[in-house]
Amino acid sequence: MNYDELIRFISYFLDKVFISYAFLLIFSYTALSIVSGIALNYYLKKNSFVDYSVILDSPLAPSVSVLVPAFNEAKTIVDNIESIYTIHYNNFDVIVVNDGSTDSTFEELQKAFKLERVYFAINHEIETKEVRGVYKSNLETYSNLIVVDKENGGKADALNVAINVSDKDLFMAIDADSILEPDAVLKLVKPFLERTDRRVIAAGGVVRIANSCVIENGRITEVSVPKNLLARMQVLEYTRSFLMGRMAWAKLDGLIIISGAMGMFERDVVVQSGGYAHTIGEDMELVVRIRRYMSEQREKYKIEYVPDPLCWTEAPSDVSTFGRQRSRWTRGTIETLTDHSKIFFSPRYGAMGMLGYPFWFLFEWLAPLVEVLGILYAIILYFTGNLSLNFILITFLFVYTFALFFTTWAILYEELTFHRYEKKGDVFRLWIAALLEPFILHPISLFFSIKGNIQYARGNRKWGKMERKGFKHKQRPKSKV
Amino acid sequence: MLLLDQHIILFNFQELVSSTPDLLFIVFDFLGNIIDRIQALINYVFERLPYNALNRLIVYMILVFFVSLIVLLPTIIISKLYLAYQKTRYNQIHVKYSQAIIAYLIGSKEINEICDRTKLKSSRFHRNVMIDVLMAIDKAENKTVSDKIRALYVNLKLNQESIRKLDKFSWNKKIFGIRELSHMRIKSENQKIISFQQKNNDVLRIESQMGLIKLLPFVPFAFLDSQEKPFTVWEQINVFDLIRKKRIEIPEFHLWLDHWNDSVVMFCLDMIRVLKQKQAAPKVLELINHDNDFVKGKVIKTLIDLESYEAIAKLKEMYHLEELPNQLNILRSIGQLKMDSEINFLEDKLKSDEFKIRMEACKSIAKIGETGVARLNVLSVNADEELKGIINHVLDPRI
Repeated sequence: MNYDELIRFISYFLDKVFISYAFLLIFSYTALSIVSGIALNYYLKKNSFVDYSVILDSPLAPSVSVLVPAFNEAKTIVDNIESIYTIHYNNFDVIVVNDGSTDSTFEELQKAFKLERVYFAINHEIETKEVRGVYKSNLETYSNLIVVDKENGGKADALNVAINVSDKDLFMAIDADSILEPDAVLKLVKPFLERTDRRVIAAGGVVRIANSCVIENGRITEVSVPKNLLARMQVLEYTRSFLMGRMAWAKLDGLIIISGAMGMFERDVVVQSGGYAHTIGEDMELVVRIRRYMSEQREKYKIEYVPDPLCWTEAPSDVSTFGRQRSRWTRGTIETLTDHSKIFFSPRYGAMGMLGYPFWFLFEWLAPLVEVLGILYAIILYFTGNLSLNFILITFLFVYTFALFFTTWAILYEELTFHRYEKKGDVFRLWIAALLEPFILHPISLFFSIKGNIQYARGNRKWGKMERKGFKHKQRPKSKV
Repeated sequence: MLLLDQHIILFNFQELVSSTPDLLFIVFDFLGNIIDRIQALINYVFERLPYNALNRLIVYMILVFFVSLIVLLPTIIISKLYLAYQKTRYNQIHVKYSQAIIAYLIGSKEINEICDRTKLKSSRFHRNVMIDVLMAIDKAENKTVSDKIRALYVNLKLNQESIRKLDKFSWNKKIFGIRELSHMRIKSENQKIISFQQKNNDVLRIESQMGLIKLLPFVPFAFLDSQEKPFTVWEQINVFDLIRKKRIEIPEFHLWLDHWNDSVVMFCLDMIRVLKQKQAAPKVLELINHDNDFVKGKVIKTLIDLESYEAIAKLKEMYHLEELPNQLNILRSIGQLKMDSEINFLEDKLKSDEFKIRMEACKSIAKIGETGVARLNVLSVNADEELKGIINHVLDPRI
């Protein structure tokens, strides 16, 4: 084989690889959309007969701890804790963990909730950093509020402390900046009550973007499409991911991530599998690990997913914060996938091993890398005269029409199901953002994914700083003494 | 003027009819040209591109995505408009029928004046709105009103609509049928509703159980006899809620304690406990050695909630043979009965290496009252650090 033949062979091989990859990706996303459509339809029909209020005062309802890790959240922590108290549920407590904040997070909590140190014996079922003190509120409204002050150890460590403190059946881990829908706990608890022969070990819900929404007394009272274009494009991303992707994965029993912004877990299973790991993507890692644990114990289990919008969070509205978040997500994904490489195409782990993990490996981790390589390859071919401009244009048109079609499909799902964007012109604004997304959000996302890969290869395991701008509040609630 | 208008319209119509073949020809010609141009464009693209088969696939897929997009966009708008229209239409008819039914109930309207029967006969939408209205008004729980509404439901032959729903293919339609028939106390279809209990669809199963409870007021829990599928906690919560809200004859739940389905047994234990059916205690005690640990846990809780002091000896005896969750249940239960005599048994458990056992034993000792608290204070003096922490925790009134 001479040099020219070798080049031709490599070129032929790469053509096939890139094209097969693109078609496989499109096929996977289309299949997921169809599955999620079927699952959503069933869920909505089923949900129309459900009266969640029966759980409220039932003696058979499980107890729940709401876990809130907080690090340097002084600006928003009080509002956010107050928002948790708008949820509809009876048998619950709230455990806030101040993870060695360097700002006045703890002082804000102490002042707002009249905290008093108590003798609290913690069962160190999961190993954590040292706890400085446990506090309870003197205010009657917040009598079930527990605040733990501890040495800084990261989000996973803070959550593990909260799990150690909790004595409830289930726990719901949320981010300190999450705004919960009042029925979030009721809706997440229900799948655990429906357990049959398969133990329900976790349940996730839909997280929505709260930028430009109005928050009154800890509740979202006015939903708007974000004014900031970057945030608006992330609305589309979240809709695709939560409404189409995760819904389908739950239906296929291959769900391997429950958002760190909000997820409910069976406490005992998490403790038995060792709690949250000190990784960057601790939310994904936990789901993979508890699933592995259950499979290895040969116990029948399932992870449920609730497609209702249950939690609202602030999306980054500037490129640098967005970039830090995306490279962290990439590093988290790589870390989890490499730590649990054993499950790759292993039938022992069921749909997670055969579908969920390979999908994440191929289309979440590798997709940005393949895309960049594909672009570089096309450029080389073009300049060596082996690729026509027409072919490049047609390939671009192909990808663009698919992206637009897929996003429009997601908007249709949102409109037919939960229809949260009710203002005139909201759908139009979203669609315009969909037209622009491949030119703005996607390249930025791609850049930071690659950066995340490079950072991971260089051994960067830091969380990075996440700056929040805070929400639009109309009124602060008054505490009762 | 009117004549002239008619003439003009007639003239235009005639002209249109006479020129239709020409118009069609022009339209087809125009479409033909467009298709030719698209075909030419595709051919041009194919000719200019290097890999033909692949290019064809890509171009066809672009066309598919593009056409889908063209279809999706109006679908979003139409679905938004349709949903809004359906809602408005439903609300309008709902209000109209509600007013008519209320007028009928207070005697200012006759049965024939309520609605247009032909419309009700011909339109399923109208029948369904009328059923919704009748069920909504019947929420008042007034027997006279309820009887009148039921009579009206039958008179308007709406029961036939509900019965038809039971035979529909889709499970959610069946549920509507069950809800309507059970609400209106129509018992003719009970057998069909009973058969839904063995369905795999859990929502349908729950609704059939709830329906049967309402339809069989003297044997409301007969469905438990044939409960083959797991009776989930969600189903149990719904049934319990119905017991509380409706005037239903509550049975002796110990009758099902020997049921082969453990989920039914656990439900009955919960009901015995919550409804304080103390006479069931001896039957509950018989289950103390049940094979299923979850059932055993419920048995322990139930016995103590029924204040069955005679169970204590048995619980202490079995303590060492049990797994941790049931050991904790036993310690918690003993504490609940606040028996001074058990303080030594509980104190002995403080020697355990297991944090949870120590914590539960301490809590139970504290629950005994002054004697217990005094004992904990004494024990605290020479206790190890962990136990000291636990005792402080238990004795802190703020926790």
